[in-house]
Amino acid sequence: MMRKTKQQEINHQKNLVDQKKSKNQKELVERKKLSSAEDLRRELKRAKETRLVGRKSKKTPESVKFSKKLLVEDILREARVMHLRMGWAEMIAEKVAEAVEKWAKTRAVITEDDLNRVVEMELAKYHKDLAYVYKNRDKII
Amino acid sequence: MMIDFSSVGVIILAAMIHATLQLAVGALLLLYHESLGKHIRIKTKYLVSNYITGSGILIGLMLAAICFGIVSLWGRSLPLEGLAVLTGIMVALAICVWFFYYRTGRSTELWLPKVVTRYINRRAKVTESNTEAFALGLLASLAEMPFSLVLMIVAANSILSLPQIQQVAAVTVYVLVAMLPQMFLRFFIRHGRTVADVQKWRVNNKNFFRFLSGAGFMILAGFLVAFKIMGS
Repeated sequence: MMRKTKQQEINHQKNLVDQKKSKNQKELVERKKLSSAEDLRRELKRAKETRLVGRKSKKTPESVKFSKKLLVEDILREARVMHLRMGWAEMIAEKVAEAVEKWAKTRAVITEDDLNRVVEMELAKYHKDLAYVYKNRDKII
Repeated sequence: MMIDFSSVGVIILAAMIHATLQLAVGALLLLYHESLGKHIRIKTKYLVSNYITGSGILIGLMLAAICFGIVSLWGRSLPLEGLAVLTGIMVALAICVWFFYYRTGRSTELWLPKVVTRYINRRAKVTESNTEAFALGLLASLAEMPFSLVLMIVAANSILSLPQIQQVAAVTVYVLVAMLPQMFLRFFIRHGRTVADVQKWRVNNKNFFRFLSGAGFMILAGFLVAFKIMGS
């Protein structure tokens, strides 16, 4: 009788261990499922943010590093539109770019509007029409 | 050979209103601005000529196509109901021009869809060859269609009431009158005016053009009611 009960107890314990194992395995599978669902949700969110799926994300302004060279090129292009002599145009462009660079160095971050305003202000000291064309270059239509 | 003066009047008035619309002129000025900054003047001259040709050809072909459409669908001219609808649309367009066509502020920006504006801007910036300039002219005239299509339908209806020989002349006159601002712009820039001068003039006279376009639509609507709807 005693043996039987011992055997029963051993069997019972084995069963318990098996049940625990299977329970753990089930939990593991569930967790994996959950984590994969979570991953999927995260992926979808990322995809939405990068405009791959669903609605468009809000536009974030691009940050661009200020470049004196590009500014000089821009001013020279506008000067060519105004039929200015290249020597004079280069001189104006250099002076304006230097002044704007000096202004930009005093600030950590500047907006494009601020930059355009300062360039226009500096250009107006030398050539008012050039400043006008620079200011209105994206406002024709 | 009898000349129907009311029809000729409608054609010329419609063409004049078409000429007051600012998109094609603005796109041409943009092309001038971008091209003068990159190319030598002779290249700019060819680009601008091709732009104007493209714009004129599209207007002429559209007018001829509308004439053909009217003849195919209704015979000689539009029915009275059609003219009444056109009159209503013109009144609505007059209100649109007065209140929505131009953006507020000291610029000549128009209330166009952003996509269209950006596309025209981009095309003007990258235009390098004569074919591209021609296509830009077509595009600018096409983008103006929400306003100019009604004018062309009204003009086409009047053109069809003229004798056959005069119809070709009437189409040519319409195209020439509608293209006048672009030709004047080319003339002034070729003769020493700068983009800044032209743009300043456009900004200063923006309200006048707004009033003129809107009033033109209204007058043409009244003209249609008086001579084509009531008079028939």
